[in-house]
Amino acid sequence: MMKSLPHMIGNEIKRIRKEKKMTQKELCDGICSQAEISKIENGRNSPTIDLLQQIAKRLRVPLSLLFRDQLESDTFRETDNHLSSLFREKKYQEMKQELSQNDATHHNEILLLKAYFSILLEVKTDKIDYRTASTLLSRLTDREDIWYESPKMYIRIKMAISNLYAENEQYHLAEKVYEELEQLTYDTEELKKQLIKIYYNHSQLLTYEKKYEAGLKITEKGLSYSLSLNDASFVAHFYYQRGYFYEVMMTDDSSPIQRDYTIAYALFRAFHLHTYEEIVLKGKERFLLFTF
Amino acid sequence: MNQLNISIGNEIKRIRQERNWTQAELCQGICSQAEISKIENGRNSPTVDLLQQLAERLHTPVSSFFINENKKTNFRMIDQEIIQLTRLNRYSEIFLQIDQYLITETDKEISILLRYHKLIIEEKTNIIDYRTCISQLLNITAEEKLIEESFLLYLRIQMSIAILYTNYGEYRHADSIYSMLFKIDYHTVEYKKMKLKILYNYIRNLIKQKDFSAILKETETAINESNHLDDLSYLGHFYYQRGYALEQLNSSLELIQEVYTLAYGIFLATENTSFATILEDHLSDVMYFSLKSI
Repeated sequence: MMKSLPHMIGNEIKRIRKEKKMTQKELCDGICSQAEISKIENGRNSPTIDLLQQIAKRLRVPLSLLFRDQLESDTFRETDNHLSSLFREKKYQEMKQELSQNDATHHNEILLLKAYFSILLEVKTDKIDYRTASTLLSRLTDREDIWYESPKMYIRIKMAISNLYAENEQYHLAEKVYEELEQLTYDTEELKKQLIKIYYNHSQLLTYEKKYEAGLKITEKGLSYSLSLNDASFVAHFYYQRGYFYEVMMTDDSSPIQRDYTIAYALFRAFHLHTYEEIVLKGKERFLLFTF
Repeated sequence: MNQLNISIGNEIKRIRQERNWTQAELCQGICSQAEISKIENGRNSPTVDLLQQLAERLHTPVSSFFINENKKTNFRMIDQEIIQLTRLNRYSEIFLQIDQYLITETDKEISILLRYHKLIIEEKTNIIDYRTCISQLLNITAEEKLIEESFLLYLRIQMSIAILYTNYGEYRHADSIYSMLFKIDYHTVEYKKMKLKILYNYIRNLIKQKDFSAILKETETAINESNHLDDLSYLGHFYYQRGYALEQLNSSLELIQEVYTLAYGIFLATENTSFATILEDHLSDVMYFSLKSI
C-alpha cells in the first residue's frame, strides 16, 4: 500500500543534501561509506536508526524530519485545496466526478478527506438530510485511532458536524461538539494551533446564538491561549470579537470597546491582512481611537 | 546505551500502553516478543522497516516515536527556572541551583544548557570578564560538536556570544557571527522561530552602528517572516526598531507614526506592559493614539 519507508527517507535525505549543496562524500564522511549512502538515498538499503541519527545531525535537521513524507503531505494539500475550492464555488457536478474517480491513492488521510467531502456534497445537493450526514460523519471519526492517525481531519470532521447542527438550529448539539473537542489533549505545536481555531469557531457559534456571556468566556480563553503560544493566527479576530461582545452587552463605559476594536484594527494592519483591516474600519470606525 | 534508542523505546511503550495492548499483541507477525522487549527498553536499535511495521500496527505516524516529550519538558522547565531567577537578579541562588542540577543531570543537552547559563551569569556578576566568557562559550560549541548534537542550543550560544560583543562595543565581531549564522539553513518551524530571535539581536547590533538603511531592509524581512509563521514573539519589536530607523532617517512623520503605532498596538495586544509604557511615555507625539490619554 504505502511507498516503502526506506525509499521515502532516502528521498528526503537526498532532497535536503542537495538543498544544502552537499556532496554524498561530505555527508557520509566519518559516518559510512559513499556506496552505502548512495544505496540509502536510492531506498535500496534500510538504514538503522543509529546511522540515520548521524546523517540527520550532519544535515542539521531533527531526525523526525526525515520521516515526514513531503510527497504525501503535498498530495494531501493539493487534493484538499482543489476539493475545497470546488465546494466553495458550488461546482458540485465537477466535484462529484472528481470524487468518483478511483485514483491510485491508498493513503488513509486522503481517502478520509474524500469520504468527508462526499458526505458534505450529498447533504448540499439534498441527496441526504443533515441527520444522516452527521451520522455518516460521526462514523468516520468513530473509526479506531483516527484521533491519533490524523487529528487534523478528526477536528475538521467534528467541526463540520457542528456546522450541520447549527445550520439546522440544533444549537445545543452544535455547542456540545465544541465542548467535547476542547476536552481533548493537544500536545504538539500543530495541534495547539488547532485548538485556537476551535475556540474561535466556538465563540462565533455563541455569537450567532447571541449567548454573549458564554462567547466572551471562550474568546478570552482563546486569546490567552494564543498569547501563551505567541501565536498570531487568530489574535486579531479575538480582539475584534471581544470588542463586539462588549459592544452588544452595552456596558456604560465605552473605553474597553474602543480599546479592543482599535487593537484589532492595528493588528490586522501589522499582519498585512488588509481585507480585515477594511472591515473593521467600515463597520466600527465610530469606536476607533485613530485611523490610518 | 544510546539515548535515542531509549527514548524511542519509551515512546513505543507509552503508545502501546495508551492503547491497552500487550507486547505480544503488538509484535505478533512482526518480530519476537524478546525483541520488542529489548526495543522498548532501549537495548536494541530498531531498523527503519521494523519501526514502520510497529507504527502501522499502532496506527500512528513513525515520526511520533521520535518525540521525546519528557526530555523536552524537563529541558524547558530548567531553562525557564533559570531565566526567571536571572530576571529577578537572584544570582547566588542560580549558582547553587545550577551546581545542584549538574551533579545529578545525566542528559548531555541539559548539562550544556546549565554550563551555558552559568557562564553568562558569571560574566554578568563580574566573576569572569567578557573575553573569558566568550572563549569558554566557544569551547562549548566546538568541543562537543554541538552544531550536530543540538542545533538550537548551538544557535543560542553563538547568539549569546554575538550579544556580548554588541554589549562591549565590538560590533564588527558581532556582525561576523551573525553573517555566519545567516548562512545556515533553518529547516523546521522551530528553527525558523529561532532565526527571528537572532534577527532581532542582529538588528540591535545594526542600531548601535547606526546603519539605518540596513535596519529598514532587515525589519521588513523580519516582519514578513513573523507574519508568515504567525509568530508574535518579536513582531512588536521589529516594528519598534523600524520606527526608530525611520525616525533617524528623517522619514515622513506619517510613516513614523504608522510604524510606532503598530508596535504599540502589538505590545498592548500581547500584554507587554513594560514596552507599551515606554512608548506611551516617550513616543506618544509620534503615535496615532495612546491609551494613557483616555
